[in-house]
Amino acid sequence: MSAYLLRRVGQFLVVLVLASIAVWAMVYALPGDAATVLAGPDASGPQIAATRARLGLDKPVVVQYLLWVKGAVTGHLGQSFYSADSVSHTLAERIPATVQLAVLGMLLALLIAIPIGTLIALRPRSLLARLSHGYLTAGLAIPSFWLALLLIITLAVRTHALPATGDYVNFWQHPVAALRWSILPAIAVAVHGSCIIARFLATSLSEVMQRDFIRTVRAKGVRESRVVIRHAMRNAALPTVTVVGIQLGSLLGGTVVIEALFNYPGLGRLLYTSIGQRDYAVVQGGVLFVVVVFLVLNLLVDLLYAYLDPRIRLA
Amino acid sequence: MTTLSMAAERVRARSGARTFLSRYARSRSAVVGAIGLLVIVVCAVAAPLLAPYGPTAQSAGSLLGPSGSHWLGTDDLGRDILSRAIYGARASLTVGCGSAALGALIGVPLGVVAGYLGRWTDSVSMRFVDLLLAVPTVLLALVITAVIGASRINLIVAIGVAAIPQFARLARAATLSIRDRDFVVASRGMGATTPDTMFRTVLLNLLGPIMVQLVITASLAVVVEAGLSVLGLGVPPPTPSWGGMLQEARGYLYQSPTFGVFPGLCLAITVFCMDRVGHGLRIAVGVESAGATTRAAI
Repeated sequence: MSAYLLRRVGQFLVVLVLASIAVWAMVYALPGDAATVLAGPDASGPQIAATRARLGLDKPVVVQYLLWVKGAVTGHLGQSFYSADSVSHTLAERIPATVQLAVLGMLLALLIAIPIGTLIALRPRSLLARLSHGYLTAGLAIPSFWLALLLIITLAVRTHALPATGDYVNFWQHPVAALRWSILPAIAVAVHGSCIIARFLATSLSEVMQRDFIRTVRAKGVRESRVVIRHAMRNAALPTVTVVGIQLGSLLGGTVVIEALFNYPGLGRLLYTSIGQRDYAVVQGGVLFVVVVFLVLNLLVDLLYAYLDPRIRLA
Repeated sequence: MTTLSMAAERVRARSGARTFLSRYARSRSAVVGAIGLLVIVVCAVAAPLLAPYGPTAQSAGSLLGPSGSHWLGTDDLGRDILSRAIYGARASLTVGCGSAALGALIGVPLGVVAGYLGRWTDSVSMRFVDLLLAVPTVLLALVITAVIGASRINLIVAIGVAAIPQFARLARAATLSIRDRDFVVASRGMGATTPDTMFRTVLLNLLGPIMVQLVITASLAVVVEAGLSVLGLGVPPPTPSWGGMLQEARGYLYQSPTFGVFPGLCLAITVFCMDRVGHGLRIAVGVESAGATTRAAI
C-alpha cells in the first residue's frame, strides 16, 4: 500500500508543479503585456515601466514564478485587471455557484444512470432496457448546449414554466428558488454525463454477473436482489467510480458553454468573459483552481480505488 | 512460383478486406452510421451543387418560417438556413477530422515511444499527458484560441492538442501489451533498430485501435468545435458552421424557435453516425473497448 501510495502522490506532486508552471507561463504566451494592459492605452513609457515594477515583472523569471507560487499557496492570486477586487475574491464569489451546479448535475446524472445501467445489465431484452438504449444513443449524440437551447425553447420561451436564464441562489437558504434557477442548466449537463456513466455501469455489471462467484452466491440460495446489491454492484461500482470522478472534475472545471448560454454566474462564464476582456490575472487564477481541483479529485479517486480493490494496492 | 505466391497474396488481401466488411456489417447500426456519414461528407464536398442558395446570399425576408422557396426558413440576415446547414458540414468535418488527425499524429508516437522505451521516457511523457488531461477540453481550446486567434487552422490546433492524451494513453497501453510478444522480440533479434521495431512492427499492430479512436475523437471534436462556435470563438463569420448558427439563433429564440433546432439536429446526427461507425470498426478490428470516452465532451 505505502509503495503505491508514495508513487501515486509523487506523480500528483510532479504534475501539480508542471501545471503551475504551465498556468503561470501561459500569461506570457497570451497577446498583450500585462503592464501595458493595466497601465491603460494612453500610458507613457515610464508609466508602463512603473506598473511593470509594481507587478514585479522586472524581476528575474524564476523569482517571478516563485513569488507567484508563494502568493497562490497563501491565497493571494493578484489583482483583477478590470475590477477593484482581488482575484481570490472574484473566484470565491463564483466557485460556490459552479460547485452547486456541478453537484446538482452529478446527482441528477447518477439518479438517471444507476437505474438505467442496472436495467440494461440485468434485463437486456426487456422493453424498458430497449427504451433505455434509445435514451443512451440520443443522449450521447445530442450536444449539451443544443439540449440547453431546446430546453430554453420548450420550457422557458413557449410555456414559461421555468426561467430562460440561470442564476445562483444558495440551496441551503432557499432550496426551491435554487432549484428553479439552476434546474435547466443542471439537466443540460446531466444528460450527457448520465449516458456515459450508465454505459460504463451496464458493461461492468453485466460482466460481473457472469463471473463464477456470482454463481456460487446464487448456489448458496441467496436472494437475487441481495446477489445484485451486495455482491455484483460492489464489484461493478469500481470502474464506474473512476468515470464519476472524471465527470465531476470536468463539471467543477466549469461547464463554460452551458454557463454562458444560461448566463449562470459560475466559474466557467467568469473564465470565458475574462479571456475576452484579457483579464489575465483572473484567467490565471481560475485555470489554476480548475487544474488543482481536477488533479486532487483524480488522486482521491485513485486512492479510493486502491482502498476498495486490494489487488491494486498490493500489486 | 512467384506468380503463384503473388496470387495467394492477393487472395489473402481480398479475403482480409472481406472479413473486415462482413464483420463490420454484423452491426446494423454501424451500417446506418456509415451511410449517414457518407451523406454528410457528400453534403460537405458537393455543397455548391446541393444547396439551393449560396451560404451568404440574402433574400427578401429575415427570420421567415419554413416555406416552398426556403424549406427551413431564413435566419436573422435573411439567409437560407438549409443552404447554410449544408455548407456548415464543411467546418464541422474539417475541424473534427483535422484535430483528431493532429491528436493522433502527436499522441500515437508519444505513446509508442513511452510504452516501448519505458523508464524515464515513459514517466516524462505520461506526466506531460497528465498535465494536458488536467485542463477540461473546452477550457484548453478556449485558452489556446485566445493565444493564437480563431481561424479554422487554429481551431484544429487547439482541439487537436486537447486530443493528444487519448491517443498517447491508448498507444502506450497497446504497446505495453505487445512489447514482449514473440514477433516483436523476433524483429529485435533479426537486428532491426529500435525506431524500426517501434514504428514498423509495433505501430502496424496498433492501427486497429487507433482507427477506432480516430473516429471517436473526431465525434468529440465536432462537438467541441460547435461549442466554441456557440461561444463566438469558432470559424469566423460569415462562414457557416452549425455551432455558429446556434449562436446566431440564440438571440431569436422568441421570434423564431425553429432557427435553433436544425443546426443542432445536424450536429446530433453527425455525432451519432460517427459513434456508430466507431462501434462497427471496433467489432471489425476486434478491439474490446478502445480508450472509452470517459471525458465529458462539453
